[in-house]
Amino acid sequence: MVFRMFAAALAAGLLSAVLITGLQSFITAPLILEAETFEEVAPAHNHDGHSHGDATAQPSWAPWAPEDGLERQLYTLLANCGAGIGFALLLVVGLSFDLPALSARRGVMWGVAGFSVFTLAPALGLPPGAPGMPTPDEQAAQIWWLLTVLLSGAGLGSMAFGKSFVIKALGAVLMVLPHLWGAPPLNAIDSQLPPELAARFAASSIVLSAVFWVMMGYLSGLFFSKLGERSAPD
Amino acid sequence: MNNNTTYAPASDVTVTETTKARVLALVFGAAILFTVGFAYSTPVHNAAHDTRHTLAFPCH
Repeated sequence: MVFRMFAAALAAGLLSAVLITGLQSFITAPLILEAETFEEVAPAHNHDGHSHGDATAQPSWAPWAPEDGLERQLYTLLANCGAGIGFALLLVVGLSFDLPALSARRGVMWGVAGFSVFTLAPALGLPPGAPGMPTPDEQAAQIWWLLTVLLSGAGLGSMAFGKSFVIKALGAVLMVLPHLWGAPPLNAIDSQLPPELAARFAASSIVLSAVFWVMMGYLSGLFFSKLGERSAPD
Repeated sequence: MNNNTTYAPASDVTVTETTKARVLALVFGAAILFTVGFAYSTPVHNAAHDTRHTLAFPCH
């Protein structure tokens, strides 16, 4: 079972990551590069680690960052592979509760659930931001994001699998809770980012996440069930 | 597709085996996601920067 789950997640995560990196390279990557040209007006933090002391605005000890172009795309591919495998491992855990009726179709349903929990729920309080957008304190944002994902996951699970009305109602409360509490406030910064660029980035990010999740779900379900057919004792 | 495929009855052994696999997958999945989406190390942040923004992990 360990091999079956990890092999399915690895294959689903890697394939999805390659495809989503391709889509990102001509949908969101150009928006990020464009947004960074506005970010440099107000140097909040370092995005270009390659000015070796020649630019007065940059510190001479600029930390490593991938070179724009192919190197940056390769690191994005690597990070997407990590995200794909990580999310697919969680999907496969969910799918393992569906074992007798496992299919690619069930995988898509788990993928949509993952999208709701990991993308939609946090986006209500922390909309996807292009570089240079005002953001909350990073640590506070991470804690709120993590709590929102955990509570939304528990809530959605209770609503989907809870036997009694009370459990389902409790699930709904869990999902609403982080939004009643509220996401951490944005730090006021003098952002030069054009609003239409920010809006386009937020929308593109959510749409690409949906594609990514559905793909990971479909492929996780497919590989998990196919590997089962092959290894199940007759 | 579900034409009465015979599945091995869930004995205690397979249940433990499945639970072990679930725990392992959860731990590895969470560890990878933490590295990609949350780790503070600057080189890791810079390498995963575009992924963090696009998948809307909280990023600066």
